[in-house]
Amino acid sequence: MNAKKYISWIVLILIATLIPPILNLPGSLQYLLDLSLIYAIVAIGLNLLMGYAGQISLGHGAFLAVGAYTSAYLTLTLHVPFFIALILSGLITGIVGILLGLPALKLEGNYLAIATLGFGVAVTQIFAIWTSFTGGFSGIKPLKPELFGFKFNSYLSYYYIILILTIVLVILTWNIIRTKVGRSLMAMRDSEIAAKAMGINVSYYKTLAFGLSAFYTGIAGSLYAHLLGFMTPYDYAFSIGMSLNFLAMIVIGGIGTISGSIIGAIIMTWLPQITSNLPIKSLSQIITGAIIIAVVIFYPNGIAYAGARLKDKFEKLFAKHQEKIVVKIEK
Amino acid sequence: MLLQQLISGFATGGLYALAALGLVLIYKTSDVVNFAQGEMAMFSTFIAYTTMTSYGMSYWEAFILALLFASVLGFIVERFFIRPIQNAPVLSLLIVTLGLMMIVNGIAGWAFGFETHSFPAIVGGELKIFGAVISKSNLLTLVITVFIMGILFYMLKYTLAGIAIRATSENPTIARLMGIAVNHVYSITWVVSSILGAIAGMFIAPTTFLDVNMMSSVLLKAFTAAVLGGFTTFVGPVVGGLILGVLENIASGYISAQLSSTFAFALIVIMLWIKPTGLVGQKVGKKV
Amino acid sequence: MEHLIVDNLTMEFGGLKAVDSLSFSVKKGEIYGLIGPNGAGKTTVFNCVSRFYNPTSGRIIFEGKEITKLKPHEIIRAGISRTFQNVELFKHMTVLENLLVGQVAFTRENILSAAFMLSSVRKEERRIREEAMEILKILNIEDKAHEYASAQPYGIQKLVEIGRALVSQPRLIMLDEPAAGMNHSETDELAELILKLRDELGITILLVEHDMSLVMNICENICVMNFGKKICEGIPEKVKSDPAVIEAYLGGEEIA
Repeated sequence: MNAKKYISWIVLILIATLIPPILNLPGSLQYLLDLSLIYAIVAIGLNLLMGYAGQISLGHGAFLAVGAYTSAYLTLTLHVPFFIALILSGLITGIVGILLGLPALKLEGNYLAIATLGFGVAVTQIFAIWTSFTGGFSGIKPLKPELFGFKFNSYLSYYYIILILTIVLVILTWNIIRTKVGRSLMAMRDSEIAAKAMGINVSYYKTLAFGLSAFYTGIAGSLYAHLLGFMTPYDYAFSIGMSLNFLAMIVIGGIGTISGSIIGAIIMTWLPQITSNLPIKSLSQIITGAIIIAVVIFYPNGIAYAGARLKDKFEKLFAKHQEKIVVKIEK
Repeated sequence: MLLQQLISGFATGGLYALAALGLVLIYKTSDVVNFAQGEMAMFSTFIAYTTMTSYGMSYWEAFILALLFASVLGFIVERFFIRPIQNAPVLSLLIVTLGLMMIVNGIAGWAFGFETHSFPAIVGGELKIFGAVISKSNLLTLVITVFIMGILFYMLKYTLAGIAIRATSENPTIARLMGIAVNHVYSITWVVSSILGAIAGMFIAPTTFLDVNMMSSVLLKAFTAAVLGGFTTFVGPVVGGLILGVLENIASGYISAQLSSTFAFALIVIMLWIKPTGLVGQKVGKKV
Repeated sequence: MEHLIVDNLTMEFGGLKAVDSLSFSVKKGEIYGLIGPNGAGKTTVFNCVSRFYNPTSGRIIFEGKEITKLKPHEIIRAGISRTFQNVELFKHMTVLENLLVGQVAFTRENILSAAFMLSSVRKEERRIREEAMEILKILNIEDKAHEYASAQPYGIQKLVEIGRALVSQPRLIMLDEPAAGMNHSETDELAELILKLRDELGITILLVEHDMSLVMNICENICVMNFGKKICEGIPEKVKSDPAVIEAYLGGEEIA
């Protein structure tokens, strides 16, 4: 990472740390800010799987549910402290991810999409009737986290837990993608045959990618459960619709980039909120859809590349200009 | 009991097959999985409903009008949303159809409201065959579905448009070189697909009730049917749809109604595990 | 010493014998050519050795050990690496990254040590980068290190592929039509490079190639295949004058 990029990340972290207390957002907007970071973690995990490993998943909402309910169960029923439950939720969801990754060894493209979609539908159906674990329709109330006697009751205090975790996960992801594991995943994405010939155990890395991606989503699920304070298996965040939203996040933000995952998550979380004050009930949905399409048409690689493209365009313009000058001089 | 479940399984399966055929038609020619298919069908069904209730049209008048509307909708979507980016990565196209899904759903909510309506069946009443109670509308649905598929397969096999569609699905570049107007083919497949979806929508609406979200689960089923049977052939989705419909009905009848989709999906994953390219699909191997 | 022995290898595809009871052996430090008209089964032999195909019968022995039961990803650890006929690069990675992938099998990192960037990982990363740059220097393309592989002209892509095969420090390298799509001067440079790999790095080379002058110039021994069968084996002079070989090529390519 070069110095410029380094500095811009530090500035971003500073902004993310300082802005909420300065703005003193009302509860509902602070909640949304918390939520967008949680979704950013999911998006990073999904991007690892899709952008780096080249595998598709339409079932990440279900991973979120697995993480959320594992964490709720651990803290409520087994009285495990929040931070241990958080890690355990990640690990257990990761194991579920590895199990889902097994069919992925034989399936590709649409066939993999349907298997993961099936997983998503199955988890929500099973959780809906497994009332001893999920509380069913009447729901359960996950506790607010506590550390050394301090209770993270407000959305603002909880925001910092999420922020720190997001930063840690971004650093870990960055390290993973630029070393052996990341290179193996990308190699497998670009050419499975050559990857095999180079000694990459494709089955192992596909399963690993699913496990890793699910681990991130499990962590996010745990954070989500304790943000909500009340949840049922019918929560939209656990549905297929949300899984598709996660997919939209990484495509809009930028496939195969960490920054794109974060940008996409923030856009997809705030867009409906920003447009929700419009007079017509479903107009926010229409506008969200239209913006998604517009982004794909105008920034096919995602918004993370938009800056680079602008710069590129500018340089090309400049280069053309120069050429013209040269031509003139020659004449 | 079993016969009853088989018949209603075939009836719903046939509808899944219709919707799935729509998906496969588009997928085979332009590589796009159209996630907006269900919402487009829902919209057309609402058109039929509105013309019946607000303008007093008969069932069949409304039916025809809805199909006309569906063709226009299919044409517009392809021409103005898909064609401008037809060379973009497949995933981007998929996301565009997701965006379309939100837009169409939003407009439907805006125009028709979010209430649930009951949609009339083609015919009422029941029949008794070998002691099994079978609803007439189920039987008629099955007959009409088979009839429509017959027409579709006849068209694909023997008409010029059908041959152009098949050629394009094999290789668009060569089709273009052979003088086929590939862009017309894309238009036609989107129109036909939209019509197939609308028919499925209007036949499903009586059983599920009509509201703006009625098609989301049907789309999932259609997608599953297409994958199960194989995305690479036109017969595949029909086989897949029928199997899915029957499986679901049997699972809900004998195991658990709440978990019927779970069982159906579990079976499908197992089937795909055994034959990863779908039941009638062929493997396209990579050469090195 | 026999480095690679292909013993009575048969590969059937649905009753069709792509390779039919083929036997040949490559000595250590030798440049060995596998030639034949199109569809003779040369690439199939490569794919059997690199374990993409499971041969119907026969054995493949490398350095005295049978490798016929290994998995494709285990072959590189056994000491064999290869290039592909239609260039299989990792398109969305840089030239340097492509070479780093060639090192994956020999990089001692795991996901946890990498995630926390332990000093051992840093050291390992530095080592493999230096080694990869070393290879790029040998190939004379070190200035392309940070450019995308897919942005390179075809000739460079072929070199990158060879480089990727080299970084794993193989003892046997299999080149599948390395000269295809190259012009005369590029082919000459390639011939020099192949000789250098053998003479300076001591790598045994198995070569499938259509460019006859290249094969005749640098190979010590040649096996000629037709319809999956060996029709002739020996030094270039012998092969050139063999009537069966001339027959096989009649109307096809001219023997230089």
